[in-house]
Amino acid sequence: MKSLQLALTALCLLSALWLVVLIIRDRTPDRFVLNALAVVEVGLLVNMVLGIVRVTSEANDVAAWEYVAYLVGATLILPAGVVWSLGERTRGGTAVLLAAALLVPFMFVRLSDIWAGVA
Amino acid sequence: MPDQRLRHGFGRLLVFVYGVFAVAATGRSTLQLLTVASEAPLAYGLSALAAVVYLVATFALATGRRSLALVTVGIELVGVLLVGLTSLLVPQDYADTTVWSDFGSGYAFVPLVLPVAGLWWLLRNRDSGDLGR
Repeated sequence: MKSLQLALTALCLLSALWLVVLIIRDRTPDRFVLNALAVVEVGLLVNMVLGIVRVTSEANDVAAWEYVAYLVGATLILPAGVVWSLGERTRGGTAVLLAAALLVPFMFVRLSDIWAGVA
Repeated sequence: MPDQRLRHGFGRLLVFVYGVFAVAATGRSTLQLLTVASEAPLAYGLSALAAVVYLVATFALATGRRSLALVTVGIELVGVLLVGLTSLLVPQDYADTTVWSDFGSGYAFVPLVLPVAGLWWLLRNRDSGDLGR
């Protein structure tokens, strides 16, 4: 699960970088970045399944509802971002995708904080 | 009178980020109030207040309600500054952290940046020669 999250984080940061370039050049999201985010979304669904299995099978003192809420929340960010972004095909719409792409790694940090009992 | 400029361009991004915070804060504080409210009533009460503020601010920005947006974003800025300052000065008064604790450091300081960006956007898009509205 850790290596999956690291790979997804890398993909998100690369997408974010490309989105910054698109925003500077005043472009709308291209096929390239949308495909990358689609791959991330598939990974997030796998991550959610792995996480739910982990929290229900392994011994832990994590608040299960909180952990699962974050797992599910992480899968909703990109679809919500894409829908909201496509509603306005401008630089602002591209920036929405950038925010969504940066939010995913943040959710991973929260997830491991919750698992470690920090948050 | 709705001002449709507020939801376009940079406003599109603002509405998205406000929406994320609204959903996250509402979900979090609802579950806290339902399960462990008595453990940290002040912190969880503030979380609930923050959730309401984010919800109303999202609604106001998305529908172009300028004065409502100004009020909620203003409350948000005062809230994050006040809670941020007091959480550093008298941390013992907070049994648990809130979204505004330590100026939102648990959320990459976005709670601090957001109201500033919101105010900037609202003031930038006001009508010139229409002061006192």
